Amino acid sequence: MQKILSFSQKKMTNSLKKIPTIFLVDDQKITNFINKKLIENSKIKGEIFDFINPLKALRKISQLQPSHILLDLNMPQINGWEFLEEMKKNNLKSKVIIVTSSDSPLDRERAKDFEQVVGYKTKPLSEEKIKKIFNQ
Amino acid sequence: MNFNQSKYRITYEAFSKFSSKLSKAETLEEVSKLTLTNLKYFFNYHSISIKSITRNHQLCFSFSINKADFYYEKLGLNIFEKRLFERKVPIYEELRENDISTLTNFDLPVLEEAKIYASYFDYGSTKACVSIISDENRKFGMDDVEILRLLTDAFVSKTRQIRLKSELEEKNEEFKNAIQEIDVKNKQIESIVDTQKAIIKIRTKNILDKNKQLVSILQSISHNLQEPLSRILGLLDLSEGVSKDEFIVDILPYLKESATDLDIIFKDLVKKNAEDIKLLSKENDE
Amino acid sequence: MNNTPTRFQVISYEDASKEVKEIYDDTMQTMQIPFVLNWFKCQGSNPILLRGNWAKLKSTLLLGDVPNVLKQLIIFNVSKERNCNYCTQAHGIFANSMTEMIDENINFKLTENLDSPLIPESYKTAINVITKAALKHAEITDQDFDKLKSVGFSTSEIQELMAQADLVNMLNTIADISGIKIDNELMEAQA
Repeated sequence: MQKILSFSQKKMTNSLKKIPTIFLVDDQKITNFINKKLIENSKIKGEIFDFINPLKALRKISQLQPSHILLDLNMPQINGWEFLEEMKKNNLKSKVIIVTSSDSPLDRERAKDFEQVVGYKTKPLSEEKIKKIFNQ
Repeated sequence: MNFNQSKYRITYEAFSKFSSKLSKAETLEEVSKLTLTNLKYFFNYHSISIKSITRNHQLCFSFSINKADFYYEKLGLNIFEKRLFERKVPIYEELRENDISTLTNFDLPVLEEAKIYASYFDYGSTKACVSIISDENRKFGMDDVEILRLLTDAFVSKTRQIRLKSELEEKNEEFKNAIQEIDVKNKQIESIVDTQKAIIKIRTKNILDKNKQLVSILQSISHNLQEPLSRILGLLDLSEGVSKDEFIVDILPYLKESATDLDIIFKDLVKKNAEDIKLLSKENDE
Repeated sequence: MNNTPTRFQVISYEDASKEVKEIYDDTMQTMQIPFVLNWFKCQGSNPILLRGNWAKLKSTLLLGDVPNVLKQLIIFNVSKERNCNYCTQAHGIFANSMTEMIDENINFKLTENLDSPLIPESYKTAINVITKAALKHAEITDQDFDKLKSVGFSTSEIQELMAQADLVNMLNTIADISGIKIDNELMEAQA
């Protein structure tokens, strides 16, 4: 109960201070760790939530209203595409940046079918890439 | 001269009938038979031979009163013909008993004061020699020279025409056979080419299939390796801006974990893809 | 028209029946003369006889392989020997005219020169043997046939030659007993 309350408080403060919420969705906790560090090192203001289970992330979107979601494609529970389909179905408008180790042109093409996708980056990310993502 | 013309008038009808039948003749046999029938209407003779020579090719016709014969032979001229070819002047003279058998293939009756008349005719590429044996009982005279000339003209031009026609037909036949042979060869070549094309098509398809399989193997290798590798690279990138303690606590365990993942995946891939490649190369050999 | 009375009725072309006219036409076309010979006209009253006799004459004398001039000379020679005026004159004119087609000015009449060296032995032999066959057919022997063979006549030519013997007998007989005179048109053509 308290936790929920603290979340909603956070949300309120965030929206007041205009500090964006950022989701990291990757089944590899190390990747999430790296990306979190990179964001912090890049001095990007934002509250970061990382998920190794994409289903859990999906459930949190409407509540936490993230401005950005860094999304891996290759995950065991549901893959990135199914994740995007679910967002579409539920009219969730967060900006999505696909972060994947595959540089397949087919995937890049497919990404264009989703209007919430605003970037497509290959792993590993760097501070430079992070800055480009958030300065868009 | 009047005498010659009178002679021509007597033989005119027979000669014109002969010419018209000759023009319809198609074989040397027909020409030979037709000539034998008509010679007696033109002049008196015991035997007559007509040789026409074109290049090294010699066609001989020989007639007695009721026998005819013709044959091809290699250049062989009797003494009178040799003289004719040298001087080209007609011969009209007494014939010795011994010479008769050299001039004709036929048995002639006993001749009384045998005579030979022989004449040379030039028809461009073809030359002709005509020799006639006659005697007191069947006298070939100078009055008969004109009709003999007409006969020889018609005869040689007809036999030459028949020979040329048969040569042409022979050549045509050879030509046809050659074309047929080429046709058969062409068809054989076509069928070989078709078979080759089919084989190439099948092989090309096999190679393309193999290539696709190889590409997909390579893609899966690179993808699976890339994931932990990118983690390692990311971690190394992060480690540049952190203290030694922080590195040891926060990053090194992750590096270790990622390197181990990489090692496991690598070993697994090597094992699995080695099997795939083995399978492929085996198919290729078949 | 010939005014001399004849023993047979002479039928002119104008008076002839349609059937007879057709035969008359055939004689003129085949012999290439522009009038009908008296020899035919004296048979014009009997189409059956005329048809048969014309067929015999045509296939024996006018058609065939032996030169016509030789056959005409044979008919001429037999008719002369037998004193058949009509046939001697008519066939003499036919034989000579055939040899005069080239140059009319040459003063050489074939019928007056049967012994001439210009005439081939084959002609002379044929004329002699066939004349004998016509006048004295019982005296013809194998030797006569051999003579013809020895100058080059084939069996079929000999048969055609021998047929002139029986033809000339028919020609002479009809001409003589009918009492026809030589055709004016023929005489004019010769003059």
